[in-house]
Amino acid sequence: MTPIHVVAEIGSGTFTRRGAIALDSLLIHQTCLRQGRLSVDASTCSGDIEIPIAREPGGRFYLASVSHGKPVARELQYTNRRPAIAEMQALCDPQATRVINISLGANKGYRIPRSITYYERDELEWWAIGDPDGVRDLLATITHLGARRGVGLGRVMRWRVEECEPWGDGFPVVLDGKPTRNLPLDWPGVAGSRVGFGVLSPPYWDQTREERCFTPETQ
Amino acid sequence: MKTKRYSFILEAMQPIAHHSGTLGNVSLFMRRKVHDGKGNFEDVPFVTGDTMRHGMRDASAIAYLDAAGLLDEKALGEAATRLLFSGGMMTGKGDASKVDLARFTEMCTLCPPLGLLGGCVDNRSVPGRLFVDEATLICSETERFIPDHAKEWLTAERVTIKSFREHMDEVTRVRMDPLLDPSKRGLLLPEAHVDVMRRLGAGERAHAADDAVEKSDSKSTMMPRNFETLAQGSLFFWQATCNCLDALEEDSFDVMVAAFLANCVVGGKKGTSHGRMRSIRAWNVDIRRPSDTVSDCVGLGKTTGSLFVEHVAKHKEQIREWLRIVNA
Repeated sequence: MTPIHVVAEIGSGTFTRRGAIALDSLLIHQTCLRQGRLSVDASTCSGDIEIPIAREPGGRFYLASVSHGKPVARELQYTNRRPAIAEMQALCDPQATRVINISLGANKGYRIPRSITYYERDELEWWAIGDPDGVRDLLATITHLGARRGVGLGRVMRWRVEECEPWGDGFPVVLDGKPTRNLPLDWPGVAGSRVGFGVLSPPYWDQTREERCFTPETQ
Repeated sequence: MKTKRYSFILEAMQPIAHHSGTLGNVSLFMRRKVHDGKGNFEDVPFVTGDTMRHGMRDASAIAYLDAAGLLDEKALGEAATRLLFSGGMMTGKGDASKVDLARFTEMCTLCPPLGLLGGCVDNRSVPGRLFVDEATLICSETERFIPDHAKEWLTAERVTIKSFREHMDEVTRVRMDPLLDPSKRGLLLPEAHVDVMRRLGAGERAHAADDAVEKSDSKSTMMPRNFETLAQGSLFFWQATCNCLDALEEDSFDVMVAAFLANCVVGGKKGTSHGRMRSIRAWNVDIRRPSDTVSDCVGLGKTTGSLFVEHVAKHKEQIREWLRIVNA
């Protein structure tokens, strides 16, 4: 395991609902996909999934940062859905489906805004302690980042995984006294950072495991 | 797992009219920011990934129903139609707190495209594994985002890459007022004819008297409007990527791409000769060129779609029952 610097060159705007993207989450998701697992929950992340990233000595979290990038522009786009009226007229059984209500309920159309972010140099970057070859291998099949990947947002043009020089004692989770990921309150070297509720290890969406911790200032 | 990526150069066979909204009576083309890498942005027209992905969903649903022998029957329920053509909807029925993996696997077996596209079934969201990029207009502003293999082809074909501004056009169309045509007025009921003639007379008098209020009250329903289009012959770079877990999913992905490109029409004004595209160059594609050879998605021959069609046909009765009861 060596200090590594990971860069994603992005070819489009990126939409992240939770602000930043965790490297360990990406690698666990890819590992699950390759193993044919359909669901990732806290129990599957508890240790039976191996990823090429080191854990901290106490095993509470992986030594990997969340994504860092300086936003240089934002843009509002919309997700639209129209009711499939023509298809229903053509294909539905007229005896079973007599009326389609498109003003409310399941068939109502919608237009949901999404805020797209563009980053400086079109790059997102992470730092970690891990096996560069293993990380490179897993990242190779990640083609899009963030939310709404299915419609091409967060398209990764290229991954760069390089060994790097650590910046000091806090590498890779504390930079200039600021956490680069969620860190427990007893983690040394953090100064003057904000404290909030967060999850220390994947899956980060599992709010039942939230606890008070240092949280990174991202975007 | 196998990640398959197909990339294409698409050519606009007709002007593309893909609009984001209107300003007065002008429809504006869908645009997004493109970063030049030096801090400058341009709003460049493009065809959204949402449009391309929905096109694939639509085409694959038709292919699926065709393979199951259900296309000519009015056999679907509202929920099934919504699931196949719109990805379903959280309906509030069912238990969203439980993910029944056996049920999920069964659904993917009965409807392979659903496993790739994802959707909302039994009140839970099924994540997709299909990533469909936007169709990027090939222009000087987007050139640096075009992959090398496509750039090499553009160079070999001596394609001149110009600013997106060269591709944009603004056109005017007019919806005529049929009552201005005497032959059509002849079709009116006598009392309606009198009303129309009274209005036309009032309009003429208002024009002669230069009375703006009366002119407005008696004006015809003729409606000129403008809209932006991308020029016929414009080239786009497009790619679709899929994480496939088995041979059936790979074949389903092929069918989805082929079925979509066989009849690729995007944006609005479809009824008036807008939006048709074709693939003129493809990479990593082991299917025959759809635009040249495919009239329907099950006519692709032995190399593509045979596994998909055979699978769907084999499960025809189960599919019919599932589509009858599905909650989406």
